Amino acid sequence: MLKIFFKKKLSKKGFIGPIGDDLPSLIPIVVSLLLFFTIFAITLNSYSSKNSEIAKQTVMISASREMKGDSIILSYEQFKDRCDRLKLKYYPYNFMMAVYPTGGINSSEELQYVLTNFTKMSFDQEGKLTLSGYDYVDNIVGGDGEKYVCGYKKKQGSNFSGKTKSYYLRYYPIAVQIDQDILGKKYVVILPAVMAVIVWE
Amino acid sequence: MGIKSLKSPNFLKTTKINSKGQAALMDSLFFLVIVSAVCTTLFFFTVNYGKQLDSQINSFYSTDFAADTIKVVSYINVLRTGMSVYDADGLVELDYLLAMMKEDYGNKKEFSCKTKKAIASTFNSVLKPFSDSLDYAFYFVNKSEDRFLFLMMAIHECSDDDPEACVCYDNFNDPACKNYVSGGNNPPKISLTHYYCTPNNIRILDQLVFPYVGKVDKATSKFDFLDSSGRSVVFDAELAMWVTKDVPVLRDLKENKDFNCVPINFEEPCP
Repeated sequence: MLKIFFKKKLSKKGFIGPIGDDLPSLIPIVVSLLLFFTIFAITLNSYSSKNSEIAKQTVMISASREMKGDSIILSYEQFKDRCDRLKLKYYPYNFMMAVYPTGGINSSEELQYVLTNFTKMSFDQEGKLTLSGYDYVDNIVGGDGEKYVCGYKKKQGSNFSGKTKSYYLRYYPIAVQIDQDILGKKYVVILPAVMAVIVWE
Repeated sequence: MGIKSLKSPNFLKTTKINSKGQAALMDSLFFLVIVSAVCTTLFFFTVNYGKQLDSQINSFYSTDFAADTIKVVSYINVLRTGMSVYDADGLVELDYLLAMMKEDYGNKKEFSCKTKKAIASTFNSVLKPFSDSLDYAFYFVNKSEDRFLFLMMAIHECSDDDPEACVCYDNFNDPACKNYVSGGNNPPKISLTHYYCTPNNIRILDQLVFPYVGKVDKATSKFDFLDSSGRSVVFDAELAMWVTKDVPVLRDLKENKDFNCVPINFEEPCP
């Protein structure tokens, strides 16, 4: 009888229930699980955002290849045709591209305004870049109504603005054949230009 | 508690029951250690994921840019005076830059002053998006004949009239440079200067420049020239670009006898 009492007394010491008794060991387990799931969520988030960034860049490379062809654009019709056949419009990204002249040692620094110009461009209801949006962006290659610009925006997508956080901007050198006014006369010439491409979500 | 009671089976059983808590604690601590290791691995994976691919894409873009530049140079129209179409003054006589190069080689086996100017002006235009931060070398080389047909180097340099401004551009923290700000490039002080160079050694860039300027992006293309006897000579046209870096060997190319360079002056008319 004394033996039983002694045993019971010992096992009851510090016993605060089946979970309470394991409380010290539960704390590291809970901390571990919290740590694991937090890091797992961060990893998953970072993985998908980096994947999306890589996809954006890859899409931009393939789109710019389609647009610039062999680094020469011979006419506005050719540029427009390439723009219409561009596969980039089927991808889940918004994009715009514009061709800027770069010739002349003393030419003005038009390229400083590339981003500002992109913020001024607008889209129609079908998501295609409209003429009205860039009429006043006059430093882009091309005459009235035939500016060398191309772009598509997803219906749910937001316009590119100064507040757009994640975007990719790349420049590609190209040669453009255009009618150029030289000292009052029109000449068909091939001039150096740069195609600015921007992709955003 | 006497020795007797310690030896009793009941006491041993009780001790075993009490050790269970400690074992569980140790187990959970081991679990924490394992989870920490897994989390560390995941963290490093997150930090490094995509870095290599990103650098590969950037490298691909730079090489593609250089290759496109060479293509554009071969398509472009320029004025026969060597000036860009935008800077026409007087007689407008247009030609392909490539045709001018081939004509010069056919006549004299070297490029004329007008062609050199046209090449420099075209590169200046094509590389304008990165003109603030990019130095480059463009050259036609015949490796079998061991000679350059043409070597142009474009280097960001300090203007001679105010060297202090350039020193302060690099050391804006110096008390003597209190009027200068970090990274504020002042175009009149630091500008891109084009040089036409005639070194004796075709490996001079590989030996004295490329190892010291950091990552160099290169594109190569083959150009076929005909000499006055109608013999075809193939030259490698190479464009090497790097981010502007202050390298001793490039500091004063005019004085460097290994390179034997002459600045290309766009304002000065060709004879």
